[in-house]
Amino acid sequence: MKNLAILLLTAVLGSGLASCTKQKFKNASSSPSHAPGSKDGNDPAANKTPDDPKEEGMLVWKRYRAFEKGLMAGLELSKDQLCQEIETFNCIDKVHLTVLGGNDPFENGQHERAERPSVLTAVAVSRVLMAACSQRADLDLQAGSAGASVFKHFDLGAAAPTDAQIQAQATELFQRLLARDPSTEELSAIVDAKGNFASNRGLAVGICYAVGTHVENIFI
Amino acid sequence: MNVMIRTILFSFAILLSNFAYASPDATTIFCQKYPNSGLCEDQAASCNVCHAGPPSLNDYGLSIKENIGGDLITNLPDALGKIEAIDSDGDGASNLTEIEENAHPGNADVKPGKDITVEYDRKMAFKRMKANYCGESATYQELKGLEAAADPKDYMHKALDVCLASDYWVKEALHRLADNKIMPNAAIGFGGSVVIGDYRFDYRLFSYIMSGGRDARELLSADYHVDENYNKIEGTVAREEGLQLGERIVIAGGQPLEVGRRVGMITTQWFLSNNTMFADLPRNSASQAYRAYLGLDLAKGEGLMPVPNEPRDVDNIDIAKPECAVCHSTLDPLAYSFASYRGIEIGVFDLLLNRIGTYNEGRTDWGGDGVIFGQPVQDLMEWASVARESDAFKKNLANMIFTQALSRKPFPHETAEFDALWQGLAAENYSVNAMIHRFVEMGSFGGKIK
Ligand code: HEC
Repeated sequence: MKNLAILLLTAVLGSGLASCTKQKFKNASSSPSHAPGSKDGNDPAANKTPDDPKEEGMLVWKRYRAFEKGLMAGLELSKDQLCQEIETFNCIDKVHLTVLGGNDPFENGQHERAERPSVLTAVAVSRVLMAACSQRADLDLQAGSAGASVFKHFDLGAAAPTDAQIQAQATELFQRLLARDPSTEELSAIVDAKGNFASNRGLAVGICYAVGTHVENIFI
Repeated sequence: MNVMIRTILFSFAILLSNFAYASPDATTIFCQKYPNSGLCEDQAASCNVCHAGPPSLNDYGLSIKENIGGDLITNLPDALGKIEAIDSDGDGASNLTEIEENAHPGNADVKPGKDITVEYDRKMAFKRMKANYCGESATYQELKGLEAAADPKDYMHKALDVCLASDYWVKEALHRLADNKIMPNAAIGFGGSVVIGDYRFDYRLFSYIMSGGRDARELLSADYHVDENYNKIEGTVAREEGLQLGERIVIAGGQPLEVGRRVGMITTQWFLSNNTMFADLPRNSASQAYRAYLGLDLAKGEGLMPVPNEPRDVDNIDIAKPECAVCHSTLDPLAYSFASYRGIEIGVFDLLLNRIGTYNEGRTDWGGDGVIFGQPVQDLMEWASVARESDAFKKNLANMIFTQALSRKPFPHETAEFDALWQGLAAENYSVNAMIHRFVEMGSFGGKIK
């Protein structure tokens, strides 16, 4: 139920991972043109990708480290506070490294990184975002609205926020995660989606997730 | 273990290569006819001009076949002329146009890209710059600062300077750029279970030379090493762990090669140990040096420059037959110069004296017979000097920086920018930092298609 609400919000922002998985991820960084078929020779799908430098082909994948540091700075979390698999293995450096654009040459003999994201990239981005947004919400909830650092525009534990508070919170998250102000359409889409969330905390995490999984946070 | 895997892979590759691999003579003729074509950028065209993946011909190759009427080599110039006006791959551009405008006559996906215009977007460029060279996402405050700056270009380049000196760039991103050149393997590197070399030196040397505005030609000339604090170490370096032949095996470490025989990345102990291994003729070392530092992958038919009367088959493996000579007439002469450096040698003295990767003039009879880019060279010092002064070396540097940032090769419409990128290296003393400062101003880095 809660997840459904988040997906709905992500969808209305027109930015969700679902859409980028289908289109952007497939077309981004299309194969090089100088060495046709050679570097990508064993990937039949890559050979079919047109070499036209359309917008998608010109986009640059924001790889693991910039993605991680962006979340750490934007949500004021330390590296350890980001997603950890069974509380031990860092999701970015270990578990999802490859699909987030990195490579481990030493233990895994991966001497090259992936050229472009895969469908699993969306899964990893989604997981890391959900963990980070939830972590920040828990910390801010504990700190209370006076001490909260990110979710400070409405009380996470109290009654329903006003539209103005939601907009202020959304603006804060756009600035923190996408380095820009939201458009009026984006703000009203978020306000319209508030009814889908059962709690203030759920709403806060939902906005955070929807903004953080925006295609602008994955491609530059 | 590695050796066996390689041998098996090799037998496989040889099986596959028994059909007519594109004749290097044919690619030479092609490039004599079209010397300015982008397809001939690396002195000789590669097999993929005519082949989809040997033995099958691509559409351009098929057109040649239909028009050849006789022996390939004698009739090729004529046949090439006959099909210039045809559009073999059916992508709307004639073969001649494609050859002249950096596209591909046998691949419909690669067309000339002249009509594309891009508009530079500094905000986007700034974001890419921060992500790629600082490993950070540009913040709201930084972008506001950019907007408000009296000189946004200067604002961006100051921030770039900070990034290029950051630990992220020097100790992480540049290390990842070196992975496929160094080819580390934790099991056989420092701290592993069978230690044949210490590639931490390789990573540090690479990063040191590629940062700080240093002369990148030192990749193929440095006679020093670099310690954990990125300070230069002159002279030989003793191994940290002594010889061990028990449960753990440690047969190498430090940097034992005499200073006067060093040429940067291709004479580290790890490079020679991991690539030469037990070979008398270190073909893998030569091929990896050619691939990693000159951007030419012989296994893909790139950079073929056959030397007459080669391969001489110095190690008696019947390599002079045509199906091997296609590549080995270039590779074996390239490899001779590496033969005077020890690979893995396991004599008692070799082990006690830490001799892996050291110089031994008398190791073979052919150490002085090397040829690179058609030029005879006496030893690896001379080999490296020809290599680092070549256009291939510069193009490879530019290509490394370009693909590292954009995860792709240049598109046809970006050829002029790419050429400017590598051609500008000499004027800036081969400083990679200076090249990056120029690169971030280019449409390929910060442009949006209009
Ligand atoms: C397409 C080019 C090509 C052809 C054709 C080719 N080789 Fe090679 N060969 C290479 C390259 C390149 C290397 C170095 C390894 C590498 O970088 O992949 C190599 C390495 C070798 C080695 C050294 C392997 C080792 O582990 O020390 C042997 C032996 C060899 N080739 C034998 C042959 C023989 C015999 C034939 C003919 C039957 C042949 N090659 C055909 C490109 C080729």
